[in-house]
Amino acid sequence: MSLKTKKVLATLSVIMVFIFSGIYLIVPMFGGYNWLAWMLGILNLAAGPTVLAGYIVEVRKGIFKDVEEEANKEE
Amino acid sequence: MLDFTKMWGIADWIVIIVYFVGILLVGVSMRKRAGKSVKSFFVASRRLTIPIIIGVAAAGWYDSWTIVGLAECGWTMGIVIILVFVVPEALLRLPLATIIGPHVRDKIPDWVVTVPDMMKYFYNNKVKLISALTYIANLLYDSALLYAIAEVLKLVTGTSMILSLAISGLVIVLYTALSGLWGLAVTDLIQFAIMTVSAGALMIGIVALHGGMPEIWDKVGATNPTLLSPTGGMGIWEAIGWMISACAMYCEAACYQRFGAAKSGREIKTAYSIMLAMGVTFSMAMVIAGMAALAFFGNVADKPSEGFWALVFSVLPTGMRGLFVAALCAAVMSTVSSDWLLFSTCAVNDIYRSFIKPSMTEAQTVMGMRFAVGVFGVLCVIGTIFWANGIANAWYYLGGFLFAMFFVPIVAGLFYKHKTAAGGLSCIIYSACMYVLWEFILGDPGGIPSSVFVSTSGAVVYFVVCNLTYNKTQTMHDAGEEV
Repeated sequence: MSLKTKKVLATLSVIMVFIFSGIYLIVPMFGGYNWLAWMLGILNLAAGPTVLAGYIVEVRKGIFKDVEEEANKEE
Repeated sequence: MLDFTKMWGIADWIVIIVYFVGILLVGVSMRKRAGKSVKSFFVASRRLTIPIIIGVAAAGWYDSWTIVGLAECGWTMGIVIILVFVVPEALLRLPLATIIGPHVRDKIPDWVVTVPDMMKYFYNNKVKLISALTYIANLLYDSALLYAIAEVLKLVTGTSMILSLAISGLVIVLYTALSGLWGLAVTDLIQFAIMTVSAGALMIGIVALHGGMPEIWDKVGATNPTLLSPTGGMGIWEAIGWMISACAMYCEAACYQRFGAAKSGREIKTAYSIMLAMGVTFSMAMVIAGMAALAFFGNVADKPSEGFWALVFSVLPTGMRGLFVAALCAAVMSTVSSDWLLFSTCAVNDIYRSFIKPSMTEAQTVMGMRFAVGVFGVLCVIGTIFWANGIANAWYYLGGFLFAMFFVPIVAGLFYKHKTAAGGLSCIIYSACMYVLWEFILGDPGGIPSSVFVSTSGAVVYFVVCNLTYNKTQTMHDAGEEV
């Protein structure tokens, strides 16, 4: 991942933290809406597997190859 | 009392067994990478990238308290917990994620791998020793988390609490002692995925099977209208106390371990920002689940935790129920394992090696840390007897204590130029003594929570002592360094 992509991702995520916080804080004060439960459901369902997929992609690219080689050499 | 064991099927057992065996296999497969040195064992050779940091950070920040504790809060306190904890937790931790984390990774020397090391770097060896001892005492919080696993396994499977504690404790000891943070990184990632998928499935199930949010709001409002009030009848000091407990992560040693394990500060900034957006969504889901449990099972459950599991079992099919219980085990195991790794490092590397036997080799230190993981595992299981009355307040008290004692010395240590060893030492000693006095002897006079009073007065002590003991020679030396 390039430095620029990382910066964009970080900025977007900070904005998302504020947006989510605003929604979660204000909406329950006005009542219970099913769209909020759907939103929580879909976001949670997507979060963990997305991160896991990101890890698998990185491992396939070989980001830990040198660490493994070092460990094998020492053995 | 509801009987969940009749709803617990073979598919659920298979999921739980696969989970435990899978976690152990990861530990075994990572043992070679971890055994090289203290740095490889404790901070994964400082090689973690964004996806793994998100996993380890989330698994550390969102533990079983986030699942069972926040659901209990949703049941007993209603939507006020969103105002005083869920949202402040996300917003107040942003500076930690975007400023302090990258600063710690990029500006602090390489030999600093633990919070006690950081205390030595900022102040001196005495402060390091006190910090190491205090962080080990935090084992009591892990006991509360382990208790949550045992209680749930007993409730839903009928397994005895002692057996559940022994098995889960043994699995954590084995994979932590074998693979250090290398293993934890991967297991945390898997555990994080299990946690979020379970929470998502629960939310969708609530809408599909129970009529969803309008139904919850109607029933909760009919049971107790205060639960739908934004302030929930909570006093201002109690609200501040909750917000401060959300800031306790600034003093969480495992958090700094994760910072140290990252490849660079940029990775931390990106990963933690993403994790906070995911975390606030996860926490919110748990509050809603607690409120749904009250709405649909408030009249049949004896206590909030029972109602919560009744909701989970009514919404999820067999197999998925096992996955949800595995999610709770995952949440506990990820937090507890990283704490035991941390405590073993504090005990062996920070105390024994630093103060008693400096001639220890790296290999001996790693071996000692592996042994210490086992010792802390046993102590933690014994400590569960303190939490027989529930864990809802565990983070409020222990998080508050950590915050009161370490927030000022850590944050000021990072950024305050006139810091002195005397300032750090006096603040830590004052805060520890005053917390005990204010909380347990005086009983929170004026309703002011100990964490609020002690951290504020501790800050005054810190800055006064620092300014009194900071001498001009030091000023000139610092100025020379800057030039």
